[in-house]
Amino acid sequence: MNNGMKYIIGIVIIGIVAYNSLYFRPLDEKLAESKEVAFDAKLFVEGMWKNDLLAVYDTAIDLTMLIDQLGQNPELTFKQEAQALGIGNIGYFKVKGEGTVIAVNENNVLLQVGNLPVEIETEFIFGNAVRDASGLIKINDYDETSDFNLISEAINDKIRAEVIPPFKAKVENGNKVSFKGALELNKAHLNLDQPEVIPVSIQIIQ
Amino acid sequence: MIAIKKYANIAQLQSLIALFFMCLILALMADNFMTTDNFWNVMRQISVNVCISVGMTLVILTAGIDLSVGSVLALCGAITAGLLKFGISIPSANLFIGFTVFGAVIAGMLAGGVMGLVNGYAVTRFKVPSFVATLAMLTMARGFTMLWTQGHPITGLGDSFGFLGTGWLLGIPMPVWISGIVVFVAVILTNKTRFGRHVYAIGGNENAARLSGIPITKVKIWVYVIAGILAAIGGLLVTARLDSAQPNAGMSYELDAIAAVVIGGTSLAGGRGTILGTVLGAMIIGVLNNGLILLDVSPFWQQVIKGMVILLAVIIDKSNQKDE
Repeated sequence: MNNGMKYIIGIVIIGIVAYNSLYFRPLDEKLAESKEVAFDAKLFVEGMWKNDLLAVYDTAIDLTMLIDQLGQNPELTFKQEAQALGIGNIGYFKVKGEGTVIAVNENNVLLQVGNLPVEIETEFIFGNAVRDASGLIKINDYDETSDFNLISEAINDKIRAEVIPPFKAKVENGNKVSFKGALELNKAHLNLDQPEVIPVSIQIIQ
Repeated sequence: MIAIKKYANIAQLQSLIALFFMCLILALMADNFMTTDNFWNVMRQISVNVCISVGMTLVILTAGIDLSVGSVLALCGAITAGLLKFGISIPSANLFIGFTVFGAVIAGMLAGGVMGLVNGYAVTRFKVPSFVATLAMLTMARGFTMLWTQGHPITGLGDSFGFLGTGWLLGIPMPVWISGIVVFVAVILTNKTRFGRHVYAIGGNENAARLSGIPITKVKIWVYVIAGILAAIGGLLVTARLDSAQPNAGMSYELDAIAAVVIGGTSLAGGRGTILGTVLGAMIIGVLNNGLILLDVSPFWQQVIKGMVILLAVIIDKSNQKDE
């Protein structure tokens, strides 16, 4: 085969590969399309807060019952009650309960729930516990991991802005309080002495 | 050539016996080791190591070493993911160039080839020891990966691309098909082609090979290019499997690849070894990793045990050479 023929075959192959590899569009059209589908986590959380997120937390397990079950059979309780992202030891639980305020601290409010002291976080509302415990939002539903993370951020912002302040403004020692929230536990290092709950809803009932 | 074959047969037999006994012990000790699911799990996991180890075998057969494969894997995976997801924008021409899955895969492999070419040039033209040249590429490629990804994973690459890492074809996972094709081509390349004979000749005695008229520079450059392309294929598999290009992907994969090559009986001095031996080596590493996890051995001990296995393999290799 002479060199000319080799070059022609080479160019044809490159042409076929390129034709099947690339496509061209006007950039402004592409950018406009990207803006249309940009994800607004705040709007998303506003839309799902009441009817979806709070509704799912209505089905939460009673905290004292959960702690009791975890003490007896942690493996089974994690399997039945926890939501987990991945295969690690961290599990997220939806919990609810009622208790009496025994201390109002700078970063949390301490409740006595049955025989159990429970910390309701009021300052450090971070992480993915509320999002993941809900079980409503799955990472595979999002093309961008950042969108998935923004949902947690928006949920935590909403808790900081709308859930904590009205409660923190009125709470006093001796109040009876009803709460729903998320609890994060590590199966490998299970510490049930003083659970720390991030609230999605908390009211003074007495 | 007969001596090489005899050496290779002994090494492969030793690897095969080691693999058999490992499987036997693990089958007795771990309930879920001998299951179909676990078998395919192990095969999928070793596919990436098989791809990069085959490239590493060729490099080591020429008495070189390629420490950059882990970083090249990460960069190629990131390039593929980035082009697939974001394409290329040219604002001055108001042009967006999008990549199909095929196009992004080709681009990733080309990037691997180019990095191999740079390694090959540094080693042959500038006489930089392969250890140093590829160490430099390891650092550069990791840096470029961080620059390209801005330190964030690139996720959401679509089902078509994900099929390469998670799909099944005729009851066999796609990564196993892909690594199988890589092994098949490499076996043909090393055993049935002039290029393969040149690779062995260079590793056996470079001066003798030069005097025999073998184009040392050309062959060595091609070996590094192939190693780069195979690292890129490994990167595609990792990225497709995770549906995400992680900037820190492939960290210390070069060590697993070297371990697979050495355990598979390829001599670090070059000129001796086989692709099939390397596949056995990768399987030993894969089964060992899997078994240690199933037996709930601490990750710290896993490292110690893997290191001991590699040391044992090198000692056996040296002892085989002395016996000859």
